[in-house]
Amino acid sequence: MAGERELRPYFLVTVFLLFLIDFGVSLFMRGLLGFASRKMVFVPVLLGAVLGACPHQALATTDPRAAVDLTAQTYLAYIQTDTETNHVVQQGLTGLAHVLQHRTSLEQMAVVGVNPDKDDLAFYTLLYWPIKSGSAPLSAQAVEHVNSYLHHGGMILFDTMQGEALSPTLMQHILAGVDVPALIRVPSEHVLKHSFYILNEFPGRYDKSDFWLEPEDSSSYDGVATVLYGVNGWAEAWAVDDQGRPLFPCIPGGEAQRELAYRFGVNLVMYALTGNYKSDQLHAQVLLRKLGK
Amino acid sequence: MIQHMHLVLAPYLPLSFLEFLALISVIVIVVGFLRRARGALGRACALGLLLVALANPCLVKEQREPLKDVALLVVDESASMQIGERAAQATKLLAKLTQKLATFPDLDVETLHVKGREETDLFQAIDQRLATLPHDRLAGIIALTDGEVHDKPASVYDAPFHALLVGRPHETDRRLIIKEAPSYGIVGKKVSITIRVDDQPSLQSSSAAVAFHRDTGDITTMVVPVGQDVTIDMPITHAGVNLGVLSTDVLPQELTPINNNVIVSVNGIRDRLRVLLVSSHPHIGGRTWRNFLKADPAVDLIHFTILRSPSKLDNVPNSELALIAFPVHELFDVKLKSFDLVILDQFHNQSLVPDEYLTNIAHYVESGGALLVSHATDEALPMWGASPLAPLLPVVPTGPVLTGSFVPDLTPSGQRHPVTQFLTQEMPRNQWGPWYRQRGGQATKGDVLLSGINNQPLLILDHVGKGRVAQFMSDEFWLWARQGNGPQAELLRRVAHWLVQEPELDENALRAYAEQTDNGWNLTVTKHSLRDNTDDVAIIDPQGQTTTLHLVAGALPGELRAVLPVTQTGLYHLKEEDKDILVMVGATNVPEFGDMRATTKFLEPVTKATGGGIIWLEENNSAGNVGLRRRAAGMILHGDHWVGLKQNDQYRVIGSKAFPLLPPGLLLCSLLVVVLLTWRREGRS
Repeated sequence: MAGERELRPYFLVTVFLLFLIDFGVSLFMRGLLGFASRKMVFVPVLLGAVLGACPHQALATTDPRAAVDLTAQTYLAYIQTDTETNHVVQQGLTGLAHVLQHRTSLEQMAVVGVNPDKDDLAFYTLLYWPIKSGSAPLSAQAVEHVNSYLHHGGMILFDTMQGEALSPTLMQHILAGVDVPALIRVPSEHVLKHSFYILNEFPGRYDKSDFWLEPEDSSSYDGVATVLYGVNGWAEAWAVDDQGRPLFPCIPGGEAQRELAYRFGVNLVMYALTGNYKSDQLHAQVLLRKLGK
Repeated sequence: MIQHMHLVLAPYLPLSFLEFLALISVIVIVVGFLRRARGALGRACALGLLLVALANPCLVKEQREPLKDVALLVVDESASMQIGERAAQATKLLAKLTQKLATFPDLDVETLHVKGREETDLFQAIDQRLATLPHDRLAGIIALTDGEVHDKPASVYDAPFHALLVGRPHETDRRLIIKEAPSYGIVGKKVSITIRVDDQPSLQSSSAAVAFHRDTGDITTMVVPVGQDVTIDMPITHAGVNLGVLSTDVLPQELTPINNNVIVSVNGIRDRLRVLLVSSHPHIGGRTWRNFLKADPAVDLIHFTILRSPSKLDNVPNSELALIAFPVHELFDVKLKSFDLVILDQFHNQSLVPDEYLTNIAHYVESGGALLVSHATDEALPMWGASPLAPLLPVVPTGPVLTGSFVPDLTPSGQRHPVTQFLTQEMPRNQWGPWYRQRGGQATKGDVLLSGINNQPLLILDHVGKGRVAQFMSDEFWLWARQGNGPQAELLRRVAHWLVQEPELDENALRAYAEQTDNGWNLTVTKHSLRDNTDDVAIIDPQGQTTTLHLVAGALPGELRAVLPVTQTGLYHLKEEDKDILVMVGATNVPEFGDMRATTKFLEPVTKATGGGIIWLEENNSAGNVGLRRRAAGMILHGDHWVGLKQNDQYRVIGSKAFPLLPPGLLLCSLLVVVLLTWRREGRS
């Protein structure tokens, strides 16, 4: 669509400019022009990503009647392995239970072997776990149960019962999938060393100083370790026959070493039942003094 | 209609371009003259002619229509206008003014109502309205107000701002001010609050009586000097909001009693929760208590248990034992009252705590302490009759230990009680894991919130004297903790906080709060009750009038509620049985309820800057005497009894015609003549 267009301004401007140029030319004149420039700045934008983890849990079913019994007294529980070891550990924990009943305020105690594939581990304060070079890896079910136990404030003592540690590769093979936290050598002032008796070493059938546990600052259960790991064959040192006679000699310390092994057992169970109670007690005096004010 | 003629330029080019061309021409011409060039005059004439042609001067004939001016009538309806006769005066005046303004044929009137509950932002409202009106037609702004205005105009108005003041000059008023009050205080301690009673315009008496009502029901009265800062103590009795209302006596001729009351609200926070946990012996549930209590950094825990009973001795020398004697006497006698909560875990009668200390615990609870008892479920046979704690506990656990799988269940009371009401939200009950053991027993008092085997009571809460008691007939929450299949942490946390008397967990609480609405306030009253489904609450308004409000079941079980719309600001009393709570409607610590006397001081700067006036209506006897006049620009705009509205003489063009002054033919001829003459003159050289 062509509209009407006023040509007068164009005509007038042209005449004006021509006349001006004519004037300029006739006077020999010149003119000048200049430029300015600008710069642009670009701002980069950064993006970040957030990762989250999903916890999961598995629950084993427990027969109600069994559960009634399991909640009636304090159980010392161990993970079942081969028949021979089961027998020794059963004897060992029974020996320790006698000592606890004899020397501490614990009254009703019993010993039970558990199968992590099917048993609910929640009823047990402490799991004694013999772990040997021949042990088979855990089933997926067992891994789930053990992890749930550790994630809800349980405590496991791994014992190689051989006087020496397993190679890390072998440990990883047997415990594949289990959330074992990073372990450190037991610190010199650890509450395990004064939770009942004052102890410097934790001898069992053997007297090796290899002992590791979860450090206080990484446990979310009031700093109480969920995993402990040693090599001294404590169950063998604690084991007694029906007449109360020891089943294995303690090397090299003999009966004096066995007494220390029992004391370790008492400290261990107290640690599992009362956590950092003993180390709190040191602060209780300070707190009490503060209270009156 | 008016005819109007005027000269305009209708340039063909943008004006700036035209100016540019003119500038170049001037330069060229000046150079030409300086060089004494022949014909420069002729060329200047030609360029001038061309510029004039480009500028295109025209003669315009317009037909105009005059436009009406606009007057803005502003009515202050803020809270301070509600006192005395102010509102009535304003209403009467508004009617008269509207009538008078309607008699000016060249004036439109806009009316603006300004509300303000906490302060009057009169100018903000005016500025907003003016933005929608044509500025050049504004004749004036007339405000009907008490002068208690708390903002300033964004810019000076083009028209006079007049204030017609209701109320009287030099009114008398007493008010109570909180000069300083902390927003937080530690429970059990006192905070200092600085108050002041002020009389205006001058001291009415040397001292005034001040009453201090607390939300606890306590009332203290004191006499304070007027016009001086006074510091008073306010005990912080509980966590959460601690309320108090200070009120002073009302003067005989006083303008308003509203600002004689002031509310003070201090948030109570607990210093630290001091917990004494007594476990009879180490057991698997002990770790659950410790994990729960020690996970809270605000808890100071003192745990006491016996690792070795006195009857059990071995031959180990003491130096090899890590056992130290616990300061039993200090804990259960000297320091017992410093604890906020005492927990007896796995408690049974053959307990480690001697009877005389249990008697101390009973006294401690009765005088305001908190006790949680979780009964042992091993086979130890209880002999309860003799225990000093027996009279304290709602359930005497005489029954046997009951065994079997059961999932704790909420009783009807449990579904209503704030301690347990939300447990199923934390985790649906069908996910709760079973417990296996509990003590049997009959609840003789208290409220059973959870039941266990055969509907036997499992968790019972009770009030004892000034204190509180919670009783768990089982110690098996550790099963929930160990399996992660129950709301154990939330349950223990809520029970513990109920025991230390957190007000939001009270099962029998009357609460009220006020919310602003368009027409006033909604007073929402809620009552928490374990039993009632309806109830009546007496509401006494600031004037002393009593209304009965009927509460009905609310959204949550156990919650009764009702809403009462109110218009009066001030202090309301709510009474129900033994409860008497206070609620303040409308904020008192705000400008609107500060100095409420009618005043010129806030408006004077604006009236002066715009040439407007201030007229006290009281001095004019009645609103009818205020005169209104239309005044031409530049004239005085107000007098003692009249206010003026500026005449802006604005119009609208309804038709126009333009005639060019330089026709093209004339231009062409004259240009041709000039150019030819110039060239001829230049050619002669």
